[in-house]
Amino acid sequence: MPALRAIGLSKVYGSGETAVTALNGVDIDFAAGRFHAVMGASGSGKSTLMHCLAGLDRPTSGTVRIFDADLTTLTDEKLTLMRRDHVGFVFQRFNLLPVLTARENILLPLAIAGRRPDQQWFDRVVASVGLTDRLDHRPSELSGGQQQRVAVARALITRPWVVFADEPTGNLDSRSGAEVLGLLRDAVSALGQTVVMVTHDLRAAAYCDRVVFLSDGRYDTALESPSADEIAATLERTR
Amino acid sequence: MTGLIGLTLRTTRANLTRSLLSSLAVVLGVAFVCGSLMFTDGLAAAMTGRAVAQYHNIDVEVTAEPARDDNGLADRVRRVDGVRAAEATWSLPFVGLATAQGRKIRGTHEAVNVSPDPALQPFGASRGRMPATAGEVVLDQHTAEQDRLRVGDRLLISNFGGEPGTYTLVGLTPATKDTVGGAGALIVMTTGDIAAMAGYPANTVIVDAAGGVTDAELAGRIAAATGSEAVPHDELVRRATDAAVGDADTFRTALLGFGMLAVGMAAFVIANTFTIVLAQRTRETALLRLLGTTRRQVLRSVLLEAAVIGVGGSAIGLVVGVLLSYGLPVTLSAVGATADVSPVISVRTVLVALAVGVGVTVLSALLPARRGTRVLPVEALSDAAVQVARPAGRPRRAAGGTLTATGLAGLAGATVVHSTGLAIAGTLIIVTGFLLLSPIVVPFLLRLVHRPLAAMGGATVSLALLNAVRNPRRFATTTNALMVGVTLVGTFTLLAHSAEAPAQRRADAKMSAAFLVTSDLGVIPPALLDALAARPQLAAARPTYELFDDTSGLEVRTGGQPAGTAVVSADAGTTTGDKIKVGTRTFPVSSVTGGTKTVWLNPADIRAAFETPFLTDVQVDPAPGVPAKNARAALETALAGFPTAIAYDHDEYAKHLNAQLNRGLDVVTALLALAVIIALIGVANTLTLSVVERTRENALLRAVGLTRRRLRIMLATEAVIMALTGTLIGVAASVAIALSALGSIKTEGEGISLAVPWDRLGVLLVVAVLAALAASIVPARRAIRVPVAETLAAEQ
Ligand SMILES: Nc1ncnc2c1ncn2[C@@H]1O[C@H](COP(=O)(O)OP(=O)(O)O)[C@@H](O)[C@H]1O
Ligand SMILES: [Mg+2]
Repeated sequence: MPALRAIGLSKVYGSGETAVTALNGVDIDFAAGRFHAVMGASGSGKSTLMHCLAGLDRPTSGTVRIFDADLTTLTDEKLTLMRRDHVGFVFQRFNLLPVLTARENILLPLAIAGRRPDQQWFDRVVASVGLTDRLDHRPSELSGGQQQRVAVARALITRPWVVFADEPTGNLDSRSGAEVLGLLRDAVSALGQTVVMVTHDLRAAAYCDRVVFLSDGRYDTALESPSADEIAATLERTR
Repeated sequence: MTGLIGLTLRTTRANLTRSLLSSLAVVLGVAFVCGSLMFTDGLAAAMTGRAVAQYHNIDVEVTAEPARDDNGLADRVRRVDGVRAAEATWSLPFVGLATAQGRKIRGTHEAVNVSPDPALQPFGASRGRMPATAGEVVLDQHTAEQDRLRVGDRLLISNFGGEPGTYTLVGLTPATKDTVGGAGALIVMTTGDIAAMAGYPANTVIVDAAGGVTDAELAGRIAAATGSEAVPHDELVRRATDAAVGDADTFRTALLGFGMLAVGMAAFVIANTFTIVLAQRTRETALLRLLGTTRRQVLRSVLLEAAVIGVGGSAIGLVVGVLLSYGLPVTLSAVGATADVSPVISVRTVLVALAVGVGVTVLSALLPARRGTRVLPVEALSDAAVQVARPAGRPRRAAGGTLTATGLAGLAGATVVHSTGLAIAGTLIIVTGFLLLSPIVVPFLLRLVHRPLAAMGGATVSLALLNAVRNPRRFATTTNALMVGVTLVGTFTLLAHSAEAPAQRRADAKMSAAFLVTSDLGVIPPALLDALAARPQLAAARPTYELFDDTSGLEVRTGGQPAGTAVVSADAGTTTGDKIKVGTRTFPVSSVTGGTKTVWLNPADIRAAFETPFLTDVQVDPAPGVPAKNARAALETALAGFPTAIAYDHDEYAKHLNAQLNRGLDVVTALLALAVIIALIGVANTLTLSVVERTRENALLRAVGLTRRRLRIMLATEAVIMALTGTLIGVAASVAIALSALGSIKTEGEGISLAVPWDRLGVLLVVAVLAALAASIVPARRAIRVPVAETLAAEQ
């Protein structure tokens, strides 16, 4: 069973004259335990797709399933709990709460749920993102790359069904970007996580097991473990 | 949940400086409420103590029925078995007091008598001794100290309208006069002296019981024997205590009314703070929601934050309240309540402080919290750094417009149909309507003045104006609080000043001669006329009498018409040519005039028609050719023997009238001003929060060449704009309300016209501007300190 399925997914912003069709009947499966990328030209609907898949936004029509759960039928309350317990997020920026230390930011989803952290898992996640000696710093005392690694650790702490990442390297220099991508790659390979990453960065997409291309709000094509060159060529074609 | 609580507390601490000003509003509100409670608890204790002390040594008190003009009550009580001693007692509430040299002691003095028998004296002397023989008196220590009177001094004392007698001060007592009737001395006399001065029999007799009989038993026997009410000691104390507690309660209720007002203002400020802070935290809230915090959890954590601020504010408020409760007696002594009160801090007060502080903070935060936490998770990802202000919705505009129009119509209508109720309703409706409309109207008004102001003040002022109205709702909420406060103070001041026509004009109306002799007690002894007539430096005095005539059922006043004729008001039932019987005489009616149920007579006729008319004042001119100074000296000499009578010239009398008016006015204004102060804190608050929000923007302005000084000026201007807008709208509203209220009072003849106390309104404006300038200092410093380059480079 795929971890994540979009079935006939459409999203229309606004109505009447000014209506914008951001997604138009998208059907995509995302298999569990793999690193997926979603690519496409700017405005092709990548972020909208991710928001609908993650239950942050409701599609105009169509269905989203995370394993058994049909997100489109859940109430706001249930959706919230679903995100809390089973979904992890990494964004381009503004990932962390400024008043909390790195440790507290990582544990935040558990704190919200009122659950005690699994110390072993916490240590393992923190060690894997290399933050062991930075745990008591505030975000403002961390570099952009370090902040992003805290965000990855936070996304993994609940052992979610899916981790979503929207342009996670968009704000980073190439070295920090590579580190963050390596972390996500490890999360899939070593920890068996499912990751869906929206990106327009060729090198980022090259870390992935599978790359899905959108154009004009429609599913275009998909490549399995492509090289940067293949991706570039496909992007050129779908533009 | 512990995690979220931790986060909330952390957020609260991180935002502490931002919440500081709003907690200051809580502090002031709580302080006032607690201060009032502690003070009135102390007052109740003091008054109760006084009530108990008053009946010390009194086993039974006998009260004669008022109708019985009974001279023998004390004797009949003495004959009752079980009475060891009994004494008739008087309490004369309006007594004049002066030194033998004629120096008048101002105040409403009370004279009481004591028995020479120490077992019947409710209090004793702290210096000297209690009066024993005729001509001896004792005064309360406080008055003696204040007016520099010493044991051995000679004093002039006269009853309400009576002739003065000379007495020797033989001692001082720690007992004080009942403060309810206003400040004054307690004069203790012998029974013989007070009976002579009073001129009527005592209606109370106090009793010392013999051994072997209980107070209650004795009271029963006395009641049976005399047919008068006899109350035993315990019951006396209980009644007095109840009355004291009741008085303190009434006073507390009045103070708490002002306290509630202050708390209401604080609610405005807190609500505004939470609205702004939550708008600034939109992204953080959205991120929390995105990570799986439910809306309810977010709401709860905001309310917890409010509760923490509330607890902090209450604790500090309690401390400030203690200080306030010690300061309150000082303020109140201005109106004559000389209360030696030590404030009482009770558990109840502490609980009330907490309840008020936490309650008002949480409740005020509730609405903004509901609105501010209705954030969509995706908003964490949006690029807009600051939430755009929602425009006022159509229902709000419609409701606001309708209410404002209705309220205006009500205010205007009240002056036509003369209904005060309508004026009050109109006021409430128009204020509500305006509060709804304010996010539209207030910025609109500012845009109207933008062009001329910008032309005068240049780019800095223009920028300040634009910044002020950038978020119309926030601007309106800030100025609304101020508007409400100023409207309260303004309306009160306008009404109070208008109701009392200007003192100068009243002095003109009252005084037809160079000097006016009158008394704070309302009545002066008739012998004073003889004393004046004996002075050759003075022309014939013109007395004014006043009384109610039982024969005709009319008020009798002094008129200027020739002797032997009467002038009557139209409703007196007679017309010109008729005859009217007033007192013991009959007069032809010479003319009819306005007024209600009144007859005017020549002073000589009044003296002829009545045995003891009340002499209220006397108009005195210098004799022809005598300089005013000499006449005045003669007048003062003549008055030296009359402790209650005071002479004024025109200016002195106007000043006296003004002082009377202002004393009461100042206290109420001071209490109301608290609301304005809290609203001004709100201005500082909004400015501070806006500066935090515009950190980047201000850095950008600095980068493109706005000097520090100009940035400072810009923020100061913004503060002044907020303060002036609220104040001016408030003044305008109070003028409208005062006009309507004055118009709604139907009066015979000329109505009351609006008297605008420009000096007070001017002070209000100056205070508002200065407070605004002060309010801008800290935010401006903060804005200036921001390093330009780093801020611009920093990611959001
Ligand atoms: N909140 C919104 N309201 C209206 N239109 C939107 C909104 N969000 C996205 N769009 C439009 O939907 C289309 C897809 O946007 P998006 O999903 O952000 O594309 P991408 O992430 O691929 O750049 C674009 O045309 C964009 O303008
Ligand atoms: Mg995008």
